[in-house]
Amino acid sequence: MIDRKEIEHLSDLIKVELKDPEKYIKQVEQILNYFDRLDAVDFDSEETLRKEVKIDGLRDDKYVPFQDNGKPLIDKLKKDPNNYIRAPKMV
Amino acid sequence: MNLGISATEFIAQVKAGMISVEEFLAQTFERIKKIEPQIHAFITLNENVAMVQAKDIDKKIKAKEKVGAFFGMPISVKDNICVEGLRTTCASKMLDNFVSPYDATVITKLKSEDSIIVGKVNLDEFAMGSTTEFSYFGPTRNPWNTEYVPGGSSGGSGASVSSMECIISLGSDTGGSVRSPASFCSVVGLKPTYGLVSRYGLISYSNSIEQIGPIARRVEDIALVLDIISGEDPRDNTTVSNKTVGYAKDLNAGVSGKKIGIIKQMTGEGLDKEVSSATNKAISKLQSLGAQCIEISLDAVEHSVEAYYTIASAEASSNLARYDNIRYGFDYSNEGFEFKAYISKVRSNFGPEVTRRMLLGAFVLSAGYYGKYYLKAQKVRTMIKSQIDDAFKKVDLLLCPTMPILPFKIGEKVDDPLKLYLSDINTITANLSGIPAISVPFEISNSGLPIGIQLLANSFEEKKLLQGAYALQESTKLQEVPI
Repeated sequence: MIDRKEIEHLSDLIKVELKDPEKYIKQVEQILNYFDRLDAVDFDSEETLRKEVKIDGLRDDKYVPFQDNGKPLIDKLKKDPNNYIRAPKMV
Repeated sequence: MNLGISATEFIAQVKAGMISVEEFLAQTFERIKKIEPQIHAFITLNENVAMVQAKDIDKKIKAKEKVGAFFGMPISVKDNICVEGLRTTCASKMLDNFVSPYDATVITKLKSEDSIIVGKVNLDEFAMGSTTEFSYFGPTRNPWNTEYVPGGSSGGSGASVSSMECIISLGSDTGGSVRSPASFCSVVGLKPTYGLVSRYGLISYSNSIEQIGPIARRVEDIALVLDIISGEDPRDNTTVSNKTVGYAKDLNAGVSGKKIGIIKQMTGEGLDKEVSSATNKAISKLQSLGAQCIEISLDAVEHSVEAYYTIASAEASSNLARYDNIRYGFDYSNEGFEFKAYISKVRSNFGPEVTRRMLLGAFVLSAGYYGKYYLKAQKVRTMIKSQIDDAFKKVDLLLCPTMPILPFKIGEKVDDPLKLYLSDINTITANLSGIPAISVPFEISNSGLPIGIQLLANSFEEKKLLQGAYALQESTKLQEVPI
């Protein structure tokens, strides 16, 4: 059962201030009720899909310089005139 | 000049000197400007760069210098795939001013063959949706009837190819996002096997499921693009080396002697009447070409919608946690804000579908519910894969309609997310099991709306899949798009 408290908890987890919590309560509940059909599945195996990857199949962990084509990455970011990125206060 | 030619025709005509790339591109942009007010397929146009490239390629051809295999072919790219120097917005306010600093691997490959990117096309925000109505920039319209949805989430890709604004488009397919717009816009769309095409530079939504796939007007064009974009990429560890090159060869091998499984759960109840009759017609056509059609039952797909949306939402909520509007995003000063208050405030600018999926994802992953939802969904996924494996021991290809319904009006289902999720029932199986699937335009309904037929093959059997799709394409002749 999704209620006001639960939706507020979820919006806190996903860090989104909900403009219309009532609408989401109704919709999320309706969809989760549908997801409950998973309870009816008769599993004949406890396995889940996985794929094994050999360690030597991974690429080498080595430094590759970024090709910025003469346009530094920082130019594409939101920054102040001193080339700093401003973040909100961590208190 | 006929802008509706196929990729193979375009290449042949440019090679033969019958058309110049510059003229073709100029007319393409003229058409884009003329019909965009009705269709709204594009988010960003790349006209200046594209025209310079077109001139350069013409010069190279004249000087008999080496030119890439695509000879300046105009393509559009879904706006969740990075192209250096162009905006990649994901149709979200959260990435409104994000300019990509690098090319996705698929773009590097297409550029190296001299294709020309005409622009970035519309999608449902972060590729979440099946109608392209959930775009921050407004919906794309179906070229067959502009009151109707073009399908989604790669609706801009489907509509731009269908309405001759480009020859080929790249989309991405997480739950049918290439095949749904292909079906609704009467073009061809392929979701390749998971791991065949690099996802480097595709903005992540559901990593264990999504693939980049081409949309074109002809099956042979899809094969051409796949030959270029497939293969191992050290920047995407899920890719595998591609030994089956030459998808474009032997496309006309036919289906004689092939066994085709008709998926029981996707061709029976719940189908629109006209979709059902088109499916039966497609089966008859393939039989008349020598294919043997048998019914195949995949019980587990009856739980595919809830399994798919559980997994996709879980991965979405994790992937979208990174958007904080600090390094890029829209203008909204964080002066005076406490960290979390600012993040929650700016993230309220995600649209309704993205917000819903993040809420669902957070719920199914949260303590106490993980076993009830996420783990069970993963088990259903395993069951589907195992039933698919069994099916391909008996048949070469599987068949069902791509979409169980005809395209519907814009706004009709936008407030009923569950109804929209249920319309993905025929496409999500390929995503959950990783196998390739293609939508081929097959019929136009009495009301003038397209119907696509979907073929599915076993993992990495794209060659067989494309041969089947080509046979289906050649068995029918469709009217031209009315726009």
